[in-house]
Amino acid sequence: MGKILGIDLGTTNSAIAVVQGGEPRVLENAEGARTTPSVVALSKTGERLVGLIARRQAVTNPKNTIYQIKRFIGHTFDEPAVQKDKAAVPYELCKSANGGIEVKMGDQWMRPEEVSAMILGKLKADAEKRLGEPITEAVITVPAYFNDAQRAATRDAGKIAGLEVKRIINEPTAAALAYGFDKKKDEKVAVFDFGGGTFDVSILEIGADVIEVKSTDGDAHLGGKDIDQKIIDWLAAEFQRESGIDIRNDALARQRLDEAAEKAKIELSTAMETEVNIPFVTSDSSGPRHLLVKMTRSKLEELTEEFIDRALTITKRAMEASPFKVGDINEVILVGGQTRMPALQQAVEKYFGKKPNLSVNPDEVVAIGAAIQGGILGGEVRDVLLLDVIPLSLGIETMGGVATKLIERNTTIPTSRSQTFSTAADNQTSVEIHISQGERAMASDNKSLGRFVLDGIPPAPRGMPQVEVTFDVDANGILTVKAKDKTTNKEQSIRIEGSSGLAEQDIERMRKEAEQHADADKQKVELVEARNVAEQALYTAKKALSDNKDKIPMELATAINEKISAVENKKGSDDAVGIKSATEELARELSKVSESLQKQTPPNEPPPAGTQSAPNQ
Amino acid sequence: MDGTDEEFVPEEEGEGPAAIKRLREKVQKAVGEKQEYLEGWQRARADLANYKREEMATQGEREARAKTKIVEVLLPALDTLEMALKHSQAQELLIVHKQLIDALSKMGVERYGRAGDDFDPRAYEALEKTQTDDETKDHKVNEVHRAGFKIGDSIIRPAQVSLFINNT
Repeated sequence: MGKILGIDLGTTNSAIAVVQGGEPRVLENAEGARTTPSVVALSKTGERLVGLIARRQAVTNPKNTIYQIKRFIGHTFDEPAVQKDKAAVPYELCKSANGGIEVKMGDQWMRPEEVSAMILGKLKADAEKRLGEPITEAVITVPAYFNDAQRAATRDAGKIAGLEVKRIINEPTAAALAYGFDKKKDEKVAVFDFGGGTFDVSILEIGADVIEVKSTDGDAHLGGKDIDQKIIDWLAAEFQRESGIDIRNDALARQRLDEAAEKAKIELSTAMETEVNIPFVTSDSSGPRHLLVKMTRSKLEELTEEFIDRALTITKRAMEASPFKVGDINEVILVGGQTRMPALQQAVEKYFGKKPNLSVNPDEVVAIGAAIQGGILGGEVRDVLLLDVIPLSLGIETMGGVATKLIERNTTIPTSRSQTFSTAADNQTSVEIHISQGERAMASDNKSLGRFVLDGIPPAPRGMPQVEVTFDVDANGILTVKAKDKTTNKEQSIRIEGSSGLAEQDIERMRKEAEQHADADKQKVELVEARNVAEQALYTAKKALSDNKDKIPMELATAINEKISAVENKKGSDDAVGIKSATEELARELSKVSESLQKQTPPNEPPPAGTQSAPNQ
Repeated sequence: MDGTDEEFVPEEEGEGPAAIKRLREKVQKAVGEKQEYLEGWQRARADLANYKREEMATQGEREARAKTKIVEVLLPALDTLEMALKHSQAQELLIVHKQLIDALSKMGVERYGRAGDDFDPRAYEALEKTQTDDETKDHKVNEVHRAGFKIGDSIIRPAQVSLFINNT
């Protein structure tokens, strides 16, 4: 069975998502964008264009470029709203035989659902391309105020596009699903959706197994576009005041003004001030003219105040139409990119008396909710499959008391990781595995979960034996640690129940401590590492001296011995830098040995092995 | 997980047929659950395998996109330079322009868009149209207002143009 595609079929833009591995995920379209303009066109050559490319040719082909079709779907031609919207679009509309609407594209008259189907068809094809599997089923969202005819027409659009529409769900319901609010019983949720061209607000009640829309209200002609227009007008007026030139009727300047206004709007969501810079915006007898205007956030807020006020008035109306009081609302969700504007968030927070939710991307929240509904219908989203994570890192103590992590905290369980370690001394026949839990760098600062010894390792030089340590955490958080000597296959293990059985406050305390001590811990580890490297260098140097006793020139041997004692003197100190530099000097001296040996005879032995207790996977 | 122990508590001793019936139901339920869990597990494995494959496939795409992001940020400065060049062909400006274009082309970024090009909305964005009586000019680029840029076949930014339209 394939995936059920979640589709947010918007008036201006559409988005798609699926549940993958139990998690919802927004799919990018063929052009690599996360939203697709809801625009369809028929080119001069009869080619059907959908999305961004349809929009790019709109200027040249206004009669055959259909946008905002959602305003007409499932309506009858004579409705006053339809007549009003009809006047605002450049393409042709007429009354169909049964009183519905038909729109002209090329020589053909089409029903709005056929146009919507073209958008759905592209979304379906793009999803198939992303996922590499056919998509035949979908959940499509519609505004809460859509009537039966509009819902049926949307369903038909899906059918025409080759999709079995498993369910039509309300956009605010999808938003609540995306936040997982369906699991919170008896909650009252307000969904504030300020889109590109439409504004909707809905009050939901979440019951035992149903999300019910208690009231909904909106303005079909209020959205981000109005705000953009205000900014454009203001910028143009500022420019005219300075230069005396009106650029509003210059198509090219207008295009750049559009882009600059949107950019300024986005920047002012995070910055308090921005500079709108359009060089060479036009020219007059005195030469080229540049638009350079500073815009502050308070200016933007002043320009958009009327729209925010309008949205708030509608919100109050929706609230009054619901059986609840403002104080009853448990959660407020923001939908639509425009809700990133701080002034809008503040207005909503002030009215509801609580911080609105917008942790899920407001442009994608509806598509994500649709995907989750699809996941529930397809049996992919199920509570029993909720996966846990381990709260603190797990690892073992290695040379010098360092805690070497095998499983990082927040790793989803069940999971298993292994790493190979070795011995720290020559002819070491046993290793102790000391299991440590926590984020601190030194094992002694972490919680000790247990220890065991693996013995019977055949005598060998340090660094040669290979001991594979495996950590396995099962779905219940039970940790099994196994150590195996790869030469003899001898193994030893320990099972630790309740490795995650720490109280929430303990976990929090351990995390905080790790943060506080991060710098000091880092220094400690550096010191240990410097000592370990020094240790290895001493071992290599002494071995080289004794192995080649007769071949190394006297003066070189003396020099090396001097460096050896320098390292030995430094090794015990807390001066990591000093240890490092002494070690480096020894290594430099030592490299002369191989040079001198090479001059005498070609080497027949590989140089001594590298590190010891460090992992060598 | 809590229910597991409970289910294995020995049943009350029932009379023959009733006990068998109960056990049958239990087996049936267990088989159903087994199937359900197996399917969930298979699905999770398949999702992971598909995800990995997709990740590998989109690796190159992601790299191209990272490059695209850097180029996108730099382009407005290049645009301004090109607009400046329309007003003044000063030697210094021409040198800087050539350096920039060369640097971009070393990154695999190609500048495109000329008068006379065929208009293709995949690579061009129409800002204006000009009526023409010349049929051969129909849907051809009249003037490039802002150059387009691409890496290979992927468009970083379409060329913004005005084009000729012939309605005869």
